[in-house]
Amino acid sequence: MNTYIKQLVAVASLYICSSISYSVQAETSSVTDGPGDNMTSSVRLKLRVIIPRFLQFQVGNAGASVDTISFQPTADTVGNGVAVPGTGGNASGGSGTSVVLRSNAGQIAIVADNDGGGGGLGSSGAISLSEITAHSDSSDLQTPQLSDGGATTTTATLTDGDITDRRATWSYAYKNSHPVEPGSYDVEIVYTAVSP
Amino acid sequence: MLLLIFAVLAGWMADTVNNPAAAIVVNIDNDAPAEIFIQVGKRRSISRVRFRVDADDVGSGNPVNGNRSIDIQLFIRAPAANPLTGFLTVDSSTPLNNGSGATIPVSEISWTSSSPDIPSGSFAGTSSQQLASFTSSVEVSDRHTFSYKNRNVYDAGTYNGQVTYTWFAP
Repeated sequence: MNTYIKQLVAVASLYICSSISYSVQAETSSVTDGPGDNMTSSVRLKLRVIIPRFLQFQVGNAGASVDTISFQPTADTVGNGVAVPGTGGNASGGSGTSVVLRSNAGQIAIVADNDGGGGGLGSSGAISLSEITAHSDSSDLQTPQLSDGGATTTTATLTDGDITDRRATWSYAYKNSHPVEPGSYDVEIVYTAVSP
Repeated sequence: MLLLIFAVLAGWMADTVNNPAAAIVVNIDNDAPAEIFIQVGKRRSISRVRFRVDADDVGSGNPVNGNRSIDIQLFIRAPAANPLTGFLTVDSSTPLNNGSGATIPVSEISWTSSSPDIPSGSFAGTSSQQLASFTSSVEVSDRHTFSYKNRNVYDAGTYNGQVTYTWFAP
């Protein structure tokens, strides 16, 4: 009698489980075969990727330090009009500074200002920034020309859609157009990348 | 009818207590139909795996893990005299899209499996990528941890999509 009761309960349990597995719910699928039928069941999985707006702009070495480009005409060439290339950049051989611009925020503009906000090199702006030429090796990431007034601008070429992914080396030269008093003339150029 | 079932269950429980070593005999019908079953994630709704990329890490190549792992369960059952082979495939041919025309191929997403039954891999971006095959009768439980490869820069936005797993026995 006890054995009969156990079998009855077991059969009832199997029936209940079987009834559940036959139902087809959203992402559970169970199929039993009919004569000669293929059995196919499909379930779905949703995927979501969230990409934020970003803008990455690097001029020279990464980190908080500011790279320095130096121009040093020799005593016998001061003011002779022969351009003096800059040295000390982080690009190959110190020939210039490496620039990276990456963004997905639309058309990016690059603005060049100087720390004097209206002067050239040196504390009194003794050498105009127009004496410094800047050149980019990439037409897609041009460098703004420097000026005493600042706020010179270029725009980077979009890579695709709202995406910019450009690299370049910006190199500099001192025109050496005329003699100036001996000394060190410094200025800090601030480049700013601006998204729409 | 309810009283009858209660009485039966009560009798069985009492019997289990009084005779703990007794065996339960289950007769399995050899004519039971073949059956396949699959569940991915939640039972009653479509599960979603989300990947959130940090602004300072977009396109860096550093993988971004999904916010949850997904359990995959499947079985195939058939009479021993007529075994079946089941094939698990996935359709990942439709790219994720941000609703503004930008897309990310699903092949940018990979997974790591908790067991070798359904091996680790990447979505192929195709309509019928075979993941595994099993011969009846077998039950498989696996847990997949998904990862976004983060190899490229894409337009900002929320990209949605889905893949479809198909478990079939021809």
